[in-house]
Amino acid sequence: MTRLTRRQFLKLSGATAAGVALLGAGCAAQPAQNAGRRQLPAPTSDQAYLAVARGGDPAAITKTAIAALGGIERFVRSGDDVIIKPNICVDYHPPEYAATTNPTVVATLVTLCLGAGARRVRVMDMPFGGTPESAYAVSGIEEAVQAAGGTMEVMSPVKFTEFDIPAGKDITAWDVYRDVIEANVLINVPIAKHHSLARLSLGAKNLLGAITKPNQIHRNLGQRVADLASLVRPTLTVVDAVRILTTHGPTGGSLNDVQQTDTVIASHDLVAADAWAATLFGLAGSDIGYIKAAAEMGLGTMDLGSVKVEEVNT
Amino acid sequence: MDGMKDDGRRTKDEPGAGVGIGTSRARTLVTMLGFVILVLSLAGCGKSQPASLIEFFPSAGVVPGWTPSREVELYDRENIYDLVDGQAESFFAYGFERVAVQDYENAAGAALSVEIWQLATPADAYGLFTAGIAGSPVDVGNDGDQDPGRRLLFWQDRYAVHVRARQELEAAELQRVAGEVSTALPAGGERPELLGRLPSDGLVERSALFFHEEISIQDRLWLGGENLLGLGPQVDGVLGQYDVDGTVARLLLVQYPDARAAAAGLAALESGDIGGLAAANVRDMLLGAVLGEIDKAAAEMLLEDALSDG
Repeated sequence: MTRLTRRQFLKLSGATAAGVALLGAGCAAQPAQNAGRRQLPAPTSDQAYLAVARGGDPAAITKTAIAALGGIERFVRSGDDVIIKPNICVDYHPPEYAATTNPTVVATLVTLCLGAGARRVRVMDMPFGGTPESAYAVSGIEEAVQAAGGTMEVMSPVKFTEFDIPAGKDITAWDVYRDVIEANVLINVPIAKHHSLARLSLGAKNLLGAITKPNQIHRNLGQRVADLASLVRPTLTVVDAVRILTTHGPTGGSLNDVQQTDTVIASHDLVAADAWAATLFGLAGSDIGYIKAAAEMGLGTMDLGSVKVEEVNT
Repeated sequence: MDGMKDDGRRTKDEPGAGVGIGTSRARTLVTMLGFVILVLSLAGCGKSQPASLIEFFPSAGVVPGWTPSREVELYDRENIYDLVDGQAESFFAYGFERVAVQDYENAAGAALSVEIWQLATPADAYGLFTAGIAGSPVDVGNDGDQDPGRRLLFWQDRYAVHVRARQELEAAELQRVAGEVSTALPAGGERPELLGRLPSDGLVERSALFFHEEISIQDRLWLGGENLLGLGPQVDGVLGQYDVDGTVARLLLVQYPDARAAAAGLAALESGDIGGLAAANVRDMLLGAVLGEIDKAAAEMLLEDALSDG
């Protein structure tokens, strides 16, 4: 298989888009928004709105957090097509450097989804540093996912499709990976880390791995990320805070910048998950542009005092 | 006269064509004269522009055991996002011009990557270096920083160089590669003059950060994200961390292009909701501020020390 760096990928996807345009609108019809995504009912009274699990075993705290939300069966049904979107932004460092999502957290989610009867569980991201194959390997995620029975997928240029963003305040359309929009279940699994431009990279920011034209999205970043989140709408957000990158993000490079926090945060509400994760850095959701913008758009709540938050120490 | 056409021009085949003396000798003199003019004009230039950054990378065999594993990748302001995604703004803040990336591998299958960043000025290269300090000092270039065996960063002239290993190596391996790059780069590069205003007493070693724009300091000092102080390419700033009798304080100095801008910066700072502001003042074009849970008298003393010319 030809290995493409992101630079080569973006060139190829641009050429592909041009080719599709030449074929005519009939061959590239606007797909239905979130056609396959199932609507998730609100949590019941015995289910946490947001779960925070702490402990030394990443697999155990991931399971604990999901259990507090009502179990994976609340989100995944038999026969579902599931996509897990971790942060695998670069192939520079192994997971100890907290630039990429903890592989054990990802693999645990794969196991849970397959256990709930998912038809398939694919894991994917579009790194900007290195090739997808290299990033998948160096991050440790490929090995862990495959051992759990999941599939790593290299995002194909031909699957990026322009989608309208009806709720968008700054952007009204963008090229997004089609499968991410159409999967029955999208589990968003960011790693909590510093970001030089956005201040923090959390759940909403993690969705940028499913788009093209990154140089254009980084203007008015807060609102554009929120606009994108209004389209993508992950089913579940699980924030990996087993280790967090406290500075020099998003790529880091020094273990001196990594803090062991042994925490996983999970919620159906992307905004709430991000707002809670921000507190690990001494910040509030309102301190982060895209969290605030997403809350103002009604995509979720930053008011953690108004929802049922269950914290469990394992 | 012999060899002259009716209009006075000489043909190239005619004796004395060109400048009135032997052709070969004339060409030699013209070439030498042109070379002298070129050398003099380059000497008068503020900076040299290599044809390509590629010439700074060690070629195969220069560093024992390491060979280039693919072609050099080149990035400029148009495509830098392909390399660093949203971090691009952090590099623009230091006058980023271009970067080249070369990967290397050895016989054991180990890999490392070398990035050579060309910034607008040596001060910018120094600034980018200070923004990236995360490890321990290493003697490469003008200043170096390393996570031994994993990462090495140094600056020299207007270049910042980043060496990164894909897997942990002996620290000496990265140092050797970095050393060869340093040898190839132009020597020199002055640290920013403003650095000299940071009082040495209490200054935490290697904490000084040189900057122009707010993005460069916002993970150390959050000013609201709206460019409260009017920072930008036209200003120079330094931010240092101090240990004042066991209390951590930060000293911020911003050199504006004129006194009015400095005064505006002070006004904005004092009226903005900046937590921990202990003291602030201006002296001509220079704005200074001390932030932290520090005794007010100590803050004012530190500030006065920084702003004074004595």
